Amino acid sequence: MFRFTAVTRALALTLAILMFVTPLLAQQTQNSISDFMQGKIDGERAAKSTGAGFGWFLLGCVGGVLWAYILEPDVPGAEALMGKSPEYVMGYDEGYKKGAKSARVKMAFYGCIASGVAYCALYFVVIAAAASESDNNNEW
Amino acid sequence: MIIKKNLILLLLLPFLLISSASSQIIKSVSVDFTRVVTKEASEEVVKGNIYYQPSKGIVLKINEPIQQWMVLEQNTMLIYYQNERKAFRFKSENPFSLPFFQAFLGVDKDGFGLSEAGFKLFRNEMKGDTLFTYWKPPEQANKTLGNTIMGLEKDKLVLVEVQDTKGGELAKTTFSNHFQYGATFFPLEVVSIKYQENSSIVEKIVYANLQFNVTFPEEVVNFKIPADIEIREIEW
Repeated sequence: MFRFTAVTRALALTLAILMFVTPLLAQQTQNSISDFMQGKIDGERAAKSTGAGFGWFLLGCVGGVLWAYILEPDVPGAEALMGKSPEYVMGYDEGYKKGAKSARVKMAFYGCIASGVAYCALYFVVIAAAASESDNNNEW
Repeated sequence: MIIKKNLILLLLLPFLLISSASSQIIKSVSVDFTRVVTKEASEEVVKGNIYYQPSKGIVLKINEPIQQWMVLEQNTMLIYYQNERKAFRFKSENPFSLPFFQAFLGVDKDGFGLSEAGFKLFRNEMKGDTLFTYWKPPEQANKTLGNTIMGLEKDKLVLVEVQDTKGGELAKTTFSNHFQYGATFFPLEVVSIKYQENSSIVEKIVYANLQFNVTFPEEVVNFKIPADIEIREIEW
């Protein structure tokens, strides 16, 4: 009987502790997830706005007074991760890489179109030149 | 008469700008800071200490809202969480920077770095005690940037305004509470407003306990991530 009471008490105590601890743990997990997600969003956004070579030139080489506030460097400034949790940092990294990849793909796509247009233009120029040459030969 | 006054100002301007540049050699800088960023309804406050050595890089010790160390050395950025026992090492082809602090150090540059960056001075005027100088952006930037206006009060930089190509405001920074070191006035309070389409971002930085060429605390000089902490390597 005594044993049963002790076990019951221990069980009740464990349940009581769990009742208090579980929401706290859940809250902590929730915070970590939300930090990670926020970091991911911010990182992706940062990847889209970085890459201004001229901005970096001004910022890194000159260290001008105002450019820090206007132009984005090639990699996000350290303040993006300043005072942020490790979860946020991990999310930011993931978002930044994803954003940078999509930006690179976009640039490659534009580059492909531009080179395609250039090839077509060159092709037509060559055809036109050949046709004109052929016309001239026929006249002879 | 007005033309003559402007001509004198124009002739004096290089000297005014050069006099604002430092002649002393800065080997190290240590400063406490509070950075408040307000965007829409949210406000972010970060407090910490900056330790800077031109030859080495920047060490940041963040105290609020979280305990965090950041070490910026050229193309590497190390982040360490003492309490969480977590560490990250970022590597990139491009150097890592701390723009707001570089802006703070920028006042130590000749002409605040504008001439060096290819900006052309085209106009200046005195309004009360303030000398306003107007700069055109270099060719590389003139499609996105308009003129830049700088306000100087007795060698102290007090205002920088950047316009877009149509003359609208892109960003405005005000500098106050200057600290004199040699011939340079370092602004201990910097407030920047970056205008965006629907909202604006306000960044306020307050510096305190600014010291030059001092020996850094032991924990900064010998900063090292403990050997038992696994560092997560990240390539950017």
